[in-house]
Amino acid sequence: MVLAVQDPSEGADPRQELRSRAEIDRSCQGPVTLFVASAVAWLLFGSLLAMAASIKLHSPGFLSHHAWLTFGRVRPAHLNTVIYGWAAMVGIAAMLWLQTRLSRVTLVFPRLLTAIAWLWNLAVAAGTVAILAGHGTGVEWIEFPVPVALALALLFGAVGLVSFYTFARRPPGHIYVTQWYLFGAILWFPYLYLMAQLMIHLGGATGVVQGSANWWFAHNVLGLFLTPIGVGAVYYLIPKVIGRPIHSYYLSLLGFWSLALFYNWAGTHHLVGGPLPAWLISVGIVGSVMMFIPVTAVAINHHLTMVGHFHMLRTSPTLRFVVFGGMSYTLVSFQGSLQALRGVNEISHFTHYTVAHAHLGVYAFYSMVMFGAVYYMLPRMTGREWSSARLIRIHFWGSALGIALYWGGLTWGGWLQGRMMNDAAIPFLDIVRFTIPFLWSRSFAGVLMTIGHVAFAVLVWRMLAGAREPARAPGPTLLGRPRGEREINPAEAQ
Amino acid sequence: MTTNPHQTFIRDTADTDVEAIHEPIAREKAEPRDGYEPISIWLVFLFLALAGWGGWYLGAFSGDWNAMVYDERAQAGAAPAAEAKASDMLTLGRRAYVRCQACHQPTGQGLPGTYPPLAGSPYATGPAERAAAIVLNGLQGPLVIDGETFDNIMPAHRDLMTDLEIAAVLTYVRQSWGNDAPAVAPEDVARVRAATAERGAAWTAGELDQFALPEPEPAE
Ligand code: HEC
Repeated sequence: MVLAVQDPSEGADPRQELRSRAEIDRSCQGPVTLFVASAVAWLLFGSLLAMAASIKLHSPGFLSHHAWLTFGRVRPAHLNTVIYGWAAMVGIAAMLWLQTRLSRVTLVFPRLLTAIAWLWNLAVAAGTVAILAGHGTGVEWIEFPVPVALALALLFGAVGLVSFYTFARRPPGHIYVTQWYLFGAILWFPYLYLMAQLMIHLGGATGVVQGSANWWFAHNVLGLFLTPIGVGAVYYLIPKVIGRPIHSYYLSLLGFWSLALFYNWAGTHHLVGGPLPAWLISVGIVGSVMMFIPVTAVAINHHLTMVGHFHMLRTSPTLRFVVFGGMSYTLVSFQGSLQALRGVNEISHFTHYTVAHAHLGVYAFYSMVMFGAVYYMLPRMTGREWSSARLIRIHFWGSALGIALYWGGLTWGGWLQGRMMNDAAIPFLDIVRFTIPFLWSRSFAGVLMTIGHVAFAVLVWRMLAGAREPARAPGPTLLGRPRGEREINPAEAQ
Repeated sequence: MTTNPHQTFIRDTADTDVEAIHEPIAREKAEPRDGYEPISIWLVFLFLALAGWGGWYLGAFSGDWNAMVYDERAQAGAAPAAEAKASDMLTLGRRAYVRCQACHQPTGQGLPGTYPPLAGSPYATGPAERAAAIVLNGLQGPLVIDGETFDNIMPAHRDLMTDLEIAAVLTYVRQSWGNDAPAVAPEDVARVRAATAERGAAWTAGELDQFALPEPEPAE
């Protein structure tokens, strides 16, 4: 059944609009909640792997007696579970839901999508076991064995088709900016992933070219898969929660198309100083610096939409996570553009600085936005409210302080580490010893984030399992009392 | 902007269908819309400036878009090319020096009583032809360097190294560890190689002290 809603700005019947919105969310409920729940499970598992890998760096004896738990396996297992388990699955959930909401039609083939979610879980589990058993491919970001990778590409392709079909059934009307980004992710990811498999594992590229194919892929997974989903979600959630149109359509246009134009070139900045023709690296550097354009456009657009509503960060969980994520996007992108410059890269490359940067992107930006999206989506699908504002607060502060400490410690330590490494007079072991306190700060930050994740998981579990909510006032779960004496206006809440 | 029409609507209606709608859905605001504020002109200038920088950078650091150029500072044109070549001789020489370093040591200091130093040695920094001759044919017998006497054998490298390699390694030796003598060109080595082609034995210090290239053979 297709349920069409007229553009609300055209004075649609609010009763009709509500009904169709409810219908849409009901159609999403099965697959979307399954994707979210799976993602949260992978997030927890990935956090454990992360802790193990992090502790090993300053205390090498930790868990070192089993081949399965050695650093060379635990670290790629962490990366792949959080990217293909957590980030991809929560991203698919958000993508499906946003597409139906914005196309104003119900989700098609929910059963197929549910099956895809289970198969996806199976594939990620198989890939993770393979990595831990020592059968990872050894190529960063695509350590899953080829059959697993092909299965994931196929499954994602199917999700993309469903999303596309959903879109095709929409009644005529304006296409909102979030949808452009969703299409970006839908089209780019399967292409990237398949190409990477063909070029790197199936022999298309060898030698030095393999390296450039690798970083073309690894960088684009972030920029052309996670970033569009994240930015698209921010574009939806900020105006949705504060109830105000996005500042400028023209800035949206500029931001999207310049991302599409420049991002794809940026990957070779990972190979600055490597055995690649100079022009290839220079192009990567220019592509990276040009990213100032889309990022500035998006940042201004979001900021000017938010202006005057920042007080709502005190109350709305969704908004707090999403705005934190949006600001981190600006920060990580600016940092990334500068980091690509040869002079900076000569210091930062091959140090913990890069690790901090990667987490600023995937965690402080993408994951925080996705947390916000989950806080918004699930109550609408289940009809339940979040059971505890305190747990949400623990989640937010655990994650926010955790990532801030993580980034601060490794950025600072990594920079000094890079300068020391460029000084031939300093013995390598001295540098290793110098980084140890910073590695401890990283493990401590990991504990904070993991505490946040556990709080999040408990909340999601309670919501989905329908455990009896502790006694609480009706209405949305807010983090604080809204400004002034005004009565809580639920509409402003989530 | 702060009142939500749906809410009043929810409370005022007896429509059971609508009451079944989840509260969170009922209270949310309308789907997002676009505003149409213009883009600031300053932003446009900023972006144009960035694009200009990008063009300059690509022009300056792309090695003529040549797949064989790995050094982004390499430029077309004669002067920088010669400079690049000189630094290449040093790099090549540093690599070729692995042939010498077992005896003369990575530091060029040699080993006391066994292998003479190259750092500060008049043979290393003296006439290029003479140095090339030593590497080509080797050296044996007593030899005094800096007051210390050596009496050992250095093997010939004539069949082990090309002219370019010998020129490069000597350039490296002559410009490292405080040595500061002019570079050696492959052509110099080639001349010595040809002139000494008939000689099988290693040089002695006495011979070297009177070293002079034989006049070009009357082959022409
Ligand atoms: C097997 C050891 C050995 C190797 C390899 C060797 N040399 Fe020598 N070299 C000697 C010895 C021994 C002498 C001194 C011979 C003598 O006592 O008459 C010497 C003498 C010299 C001298 C003259 C004396 C001085 O200290 O300046 C030069 C110049 C020289 N070597 C350069 C080279 C270069 C360049 C290479 C590498 C291409 C090289 N040698 C490789 C052992 C070696």
